[in-house]
Amino acid sequence: MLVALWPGRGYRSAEEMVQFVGKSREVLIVRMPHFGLDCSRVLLHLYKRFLAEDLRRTGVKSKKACIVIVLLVLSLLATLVGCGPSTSAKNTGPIRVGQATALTTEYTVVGQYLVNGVKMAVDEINAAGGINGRQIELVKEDSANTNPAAVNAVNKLIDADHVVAIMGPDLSTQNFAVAPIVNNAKIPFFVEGTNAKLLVDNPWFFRLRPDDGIAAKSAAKFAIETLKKTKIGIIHDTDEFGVGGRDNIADAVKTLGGTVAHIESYNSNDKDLVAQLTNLKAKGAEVIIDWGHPSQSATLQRQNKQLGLNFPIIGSPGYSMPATIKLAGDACNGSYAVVDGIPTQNPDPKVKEWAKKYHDLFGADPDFHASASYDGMYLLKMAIEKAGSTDADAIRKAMLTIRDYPGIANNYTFKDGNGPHQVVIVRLKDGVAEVRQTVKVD
Amino acid sequence: MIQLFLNGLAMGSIYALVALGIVVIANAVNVVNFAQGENVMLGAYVAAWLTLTLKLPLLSSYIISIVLMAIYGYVFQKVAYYPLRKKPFITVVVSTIGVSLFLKNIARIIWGPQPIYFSGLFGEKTIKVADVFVNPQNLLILAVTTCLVIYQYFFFTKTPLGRRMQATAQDQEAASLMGIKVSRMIALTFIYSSMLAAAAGVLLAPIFFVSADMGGSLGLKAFAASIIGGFGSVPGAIIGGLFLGVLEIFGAAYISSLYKDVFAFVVLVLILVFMPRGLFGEKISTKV
Repeated sequence: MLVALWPGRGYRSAEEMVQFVGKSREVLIVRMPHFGLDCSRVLLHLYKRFLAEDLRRTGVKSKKACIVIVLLVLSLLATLVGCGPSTSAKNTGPIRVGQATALTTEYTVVGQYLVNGVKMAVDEINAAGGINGRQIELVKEDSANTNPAAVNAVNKLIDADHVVAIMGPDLSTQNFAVAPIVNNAKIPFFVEGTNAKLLVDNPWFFRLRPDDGIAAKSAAKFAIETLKKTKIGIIHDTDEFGVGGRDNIADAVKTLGGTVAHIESYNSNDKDLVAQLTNLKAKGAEVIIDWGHPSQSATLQRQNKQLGLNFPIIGSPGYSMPATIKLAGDACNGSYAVVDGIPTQNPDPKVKEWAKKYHDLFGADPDFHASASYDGMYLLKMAIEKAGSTDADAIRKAMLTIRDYPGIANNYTFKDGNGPHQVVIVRLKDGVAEVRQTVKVD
Repeated sequence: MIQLFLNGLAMGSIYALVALGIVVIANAVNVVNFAQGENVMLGAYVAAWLTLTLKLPLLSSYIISIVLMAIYGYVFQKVAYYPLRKKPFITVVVSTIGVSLFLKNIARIIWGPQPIYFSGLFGEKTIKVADVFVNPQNLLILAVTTCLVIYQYFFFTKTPLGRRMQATAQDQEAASLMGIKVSRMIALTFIYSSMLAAAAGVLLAPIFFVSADMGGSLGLKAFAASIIGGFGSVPGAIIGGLFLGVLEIFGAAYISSLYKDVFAFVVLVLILVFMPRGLFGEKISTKV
C-alpha cells in the first residue's frame, strides 16, 4: 500500500506522522513544508524502520527497495524545497500579515468591510512607525465566498507569502474549511465567523465577534427580563446558523424561567410566512425571536404588521444591517436586534470619530464587520509588541494575556480564542437603530 | 383557516402565472423553458428600475416593462431557440438553462447583490374583512391571473391569430401547409410568454422583493405546478399552481414548516408515479 503524506491530514508532529504511516511499506511524501527539520527526522525514521534491513539482506537489487529509495529521495528533495528556514520568524524587514476574504462574488458586500477595516488600521499603524519599528506589509487573497477558494488563499498566504498571521474569511463555513491547515501551520488566525463550534479544537483561532451563543442568549434574556414576556415564540432559518441559534435560544429561555411557546422555521427562499405567523399566534407566543437572514427577516416583519399580529420581534444581528432595514421599511418599527455594535450609533466619542474617519476614507458608513477587523489588526500589533517577536507561539501566548482591551467594536478579553463578550440590543425605528442596552456574558 | 387559504391561493396564482408561460411555449415548440423564472425576475427588475431610478409613474413602468419584455422575448427566441430548432429536445432545454444562468449573473452585475423593495399599487395597506386580513396585492394577483386565463382562452379559440398559433402548436407541418407562417407564430408565442413573465414579475415584486435569485425557486415550483396539473394543459397549469400554493401553506401550518418545500416535491413524485398524465393531462409527458 502506498501512503501519501501531505500537510493537513491530521498529524501535528513527526511522531504522529510516523504513527499514521503505520506498517505501510511504501511512503510518498508529497509536501510537508510546515514541519521544518521534522521532515528529515521522519525520513530517517522511515528509513530505519523499513529499508535498513531489506538493504542489508538483498542489497539494492530488490525492486521494491529501489522504488522506495527513489520515492524517499524525491520526497526529500520536495520537502527540502518547502522546508527552508521559515521566513516568518525573521526579526527584520516588514511584518507580513495576510488577509483572506471575499474580494469577488456576491459576498463582496461584507468582504469590502473587512478589507477597509484592516486597511485603515494598517495605514494608521505604519504611519505611526509600525510595530517595534517594523512596517506592516498586507497580503490580500480572495476567498471568493467558497470553501475551496478559501483553502487555496490560506495555503498560499502560509506557504508562499510566509505571513506571521492571517485575517480570515468572514463566513464560519470557510473558517471550518481552513481550520486543519491553520492548526497544522500553527499560525495566529483572526476570524469573524460566529458559529459557536468554531473554536472547538482550533487553538490558533482568535475570534473578533461575539459567538452566536452569546447573541442568542442575550435575545432570550432581553425578551424575558426587559420585555417581561414569558411565552417565547422562535422562528429560524433551516441553515446551520438558524438551527444553532434556535437551540441556544430555547436553552436560554428555559434556564431563565420562560417557556418556549412554539418553534417555526423557514427556508432561505421562502416568500410567505403567514402560516408560521398564524401558528405562533395560535400557540400563544407573546414575542418572537427570529434567527435568519435579511430577506426573510424583512418578510416576517412586513407580514407581522400586515396580519395585524404586531408581535414584538427580536432578531439576529442581520436585523440591524442597512439592507434589512431598507427591505422591511416601516414594518421594522418596534423590532429589536441583537448585534455586536453599531459604529454609527455609538455614543462613545472615540467610536464616533472612528466612524467619521471611516466614512471620509471610503465614502460609506462602516458596520460591525469593519470595526471588528480594524480591532483585529490592533490586537495583533499589541500581541507582537508584548511578545517582542513575530514567532507564532509567542504571539499566541501574548494574545491569551490580553484583558479588557477597549476596541472600536467591542471590549476584548482573550481567556480563550473568544475575544468579545458583549452584545448590544438595538431598537429599530424609522430606519435607524438606536442602542437600548448592553448585555455582557462570560 | 380562511386567512391561510387566501394566502395560499395568492401564492398559487403566482405559480400558475409562471407555469402558464412555460406551458404556452411547451405546447408551441415542445421545449421546456427553464429560463421562465429568470424572465419573471428580469421583468420585475426592469419595472423596479424604471420606477425607482427613472422615477416613472408605477402604471407606465409596468407597461414599459411588459413592452420591453416583449422585445426581449423576440430576441430570446432568435438567440436561444431558433438556431437550435432542428436539434434534439435536450439541446434546446440546455440552452434555456444557459440563458437562465446568464440572466441571473447579469442581473447581479447590473443591480447588485442586495434585494430591492419595490412597492405595488397599494403600498402596504391591508384590508380587514371579518377576522381575515386581505393584502390587496394578493387580490390583484388573483384577478389578473383570472383575466389572463379567460383572455387567453378566447384569444386561442376565437381570434384568427390565436387559431393560427394554436394550429402551429398542434402540428407545425400541417400548419405550414395551410399557409401559416410557422416561424412568425413561434416568435409570437415566445413574445407572449415573455409578456406573461413580465406581468408576473411586476405583480409579485412587492411580495417577493426583487433580487437576482428570485426566479430560481419560482421557476422550479411553476414547473412542478405544470406537471401536477398535467404537462401541456393550460387549465392544468392553473389548477396545479393553485393546488401547490394551498398545499404548501397548509402543510406548513398543520404539519411542519421545516418541510414546506418537501410537500410540493413529494406530491410531484406521487403524481408522476400514479397519474403520469397529471390532473388534467392531455398527453403523456414524455418530454421530461
